[in-house]
Amino acid sequence: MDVLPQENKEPMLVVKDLHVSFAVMAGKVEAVNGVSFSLEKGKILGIVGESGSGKSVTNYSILQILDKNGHIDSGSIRFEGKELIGMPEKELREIRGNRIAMIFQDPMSGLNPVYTIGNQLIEAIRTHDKKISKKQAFDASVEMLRKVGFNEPEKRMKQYPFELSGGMLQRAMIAMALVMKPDLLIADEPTTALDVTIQAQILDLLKDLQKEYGMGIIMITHDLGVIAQICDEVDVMYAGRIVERGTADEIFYHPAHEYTKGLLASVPTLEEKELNPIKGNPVNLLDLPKGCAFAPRCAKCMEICLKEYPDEIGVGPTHRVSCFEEVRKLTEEGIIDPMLPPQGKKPTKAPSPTSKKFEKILTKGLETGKEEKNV
Amino acid sequence: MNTKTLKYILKRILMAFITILAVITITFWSMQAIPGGPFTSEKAVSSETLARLNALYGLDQPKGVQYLNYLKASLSWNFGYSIKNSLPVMTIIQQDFPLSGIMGCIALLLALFFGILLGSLAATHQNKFLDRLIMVLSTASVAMPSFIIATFFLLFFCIQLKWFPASYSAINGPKALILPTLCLSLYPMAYITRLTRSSTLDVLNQDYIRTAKAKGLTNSKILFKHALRNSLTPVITYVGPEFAYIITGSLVVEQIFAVPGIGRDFTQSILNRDYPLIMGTTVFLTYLMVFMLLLSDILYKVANPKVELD
Repeated sequence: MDVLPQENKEPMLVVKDLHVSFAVMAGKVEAVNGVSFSLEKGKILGIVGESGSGKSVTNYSILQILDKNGHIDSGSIRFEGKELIGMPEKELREIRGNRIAMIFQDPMSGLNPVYTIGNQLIEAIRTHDKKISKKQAFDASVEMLRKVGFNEPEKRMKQYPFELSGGMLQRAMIAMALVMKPDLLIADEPTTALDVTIQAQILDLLKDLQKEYGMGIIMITHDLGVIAQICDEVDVMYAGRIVERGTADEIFYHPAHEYTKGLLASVPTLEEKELNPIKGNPVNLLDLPKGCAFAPRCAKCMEICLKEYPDEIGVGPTHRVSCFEEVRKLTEEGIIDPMLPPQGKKPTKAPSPTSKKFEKILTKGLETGKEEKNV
Repeated sequence: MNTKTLKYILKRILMAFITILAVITITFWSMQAIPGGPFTSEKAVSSETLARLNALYGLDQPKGVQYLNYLKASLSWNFGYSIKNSLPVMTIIQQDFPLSGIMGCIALLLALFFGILLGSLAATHQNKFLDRLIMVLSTASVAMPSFIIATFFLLFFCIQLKWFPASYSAINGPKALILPTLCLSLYPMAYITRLTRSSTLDVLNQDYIRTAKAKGLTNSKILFKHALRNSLTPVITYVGPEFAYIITGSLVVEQIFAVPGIGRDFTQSILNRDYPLIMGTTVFLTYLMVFMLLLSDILYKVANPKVELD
């Protein structure tokens, strides 16, 4: 065979039809219901959705660090060609923190309060590289702390988490996650607990390190500003499913799913005096509706939406959505044959009215992104 | 040890002094409030003899003067002679404390070791059979008074099975101390099990445990390095005073197994209205309690760097 292996290679991470549920007193919470996505090395994927949409659960499933009552019911997660689901715990441990690292929402509680920063960094190294001496691990940790923006890394190594600020702790968390130079970093709302200027610094830092190491990042967030600032691709999640996916531009300028539009419209701006939240409440995951989970809250809900779940259709080169309203529109415009859902045809339509507003978010994001580091 | 720690320790010593003063005062006046005196007995004692005895022990003096005398005696560690057996109070304490002390130490070490082990096991097997079993046993041990357990032990192991001697004597030696020590350790063991279980459950839900998991650590490293040190904080606060309680509280167990320890002296002295001995044992145990509290506070600081001593 003279096909280049490079051509044939599957993406670094491939998640297929993942189903995850949690056993609770009241029954079974179906947190993730058939999520599929993939990520190439060196790309930043944003996963956006409101609380309870399954974005964190999807990513905890990758590392299999779900809470005890959580269970991966079916699906496949392939990382660098290896299936992670069902992999022995010992092999998984070699991947965790080594090939796939993770940072979390609240850096204040993410580090163990009774051990020094140094102790926890050195542990991250020596867990995966048993031959390395304590001294070497110490030096590597100091180097890593310097890289994430610490002024006096040697001094910080001896300090306890409560002696550092939130922004510094998140930097320390990033240092700890990246010290083994992982291929994939999962960032679970890394800036949510931080104030806005620190947020921008942390995002900048992540972007810089991503370029330097060439790793992939999955950025879980509910903050569209974060997505606008650093993500190449975006998956929008609702009730444990990806309802829309595409490049950041496609999602921001041509949102197709009513939920995405609602999310974009709910971002407050200076001109508007009132907030425009998405009406209604998130769906009860204990009792998922048969059709589209967003249908009860959707202004454009049709009869079919309550009965069936829509298949994903292409509405742009890389832009895909699961929504009957889109199917209806494209059928009316004659772009698709209702019997044969097309693959990747770009519809000719004007940017939606919401997209003007998002030019601002995008530019605003870039401005804050440029703010100087002052640690 | 910096100046701050030194200042803290000095402050604690001052506070200990005040505590001891308060204990002496309260003990003295409540002792006086109990009807009867050291020379009350079935045998009629002539009033002349009584007066001479009272004069001998200074009991004929006004209460205020007696109080001051006691105060002086207590602070100089000279409690005088026991009224019942004429030995110096300090000699009695020196004789009987080691036995109680050794039993207490071993009981507490047993309680700590098994309590932490069982508590961690229960927490990691939450709601499974092992957890339920441990919880039922520990609840039973906490709920059952020590005299019931002691009597049961005595009946079963000493009389039915004849594994251990039923009472302590110089000939029986250490073998006779095994059962009373076990009895003493049961309550704190059960208590520590419950404490460890609940705090470990709480700690295992903390974000830093998830971080540790995401770092690729083994479960045992997560439990013993990252969880245990955090979940032991309540245990440390409990253990210090508990040691003093074991020593004072050993009176029932010592009585049942006839162990001549300080717990027995303590009860006997009150029954006999043996004022100097009551004073001596009370003050001694107060010192012990104050010292153990200080020790547990310092250990608390060692375990949790965030804690400030002040």
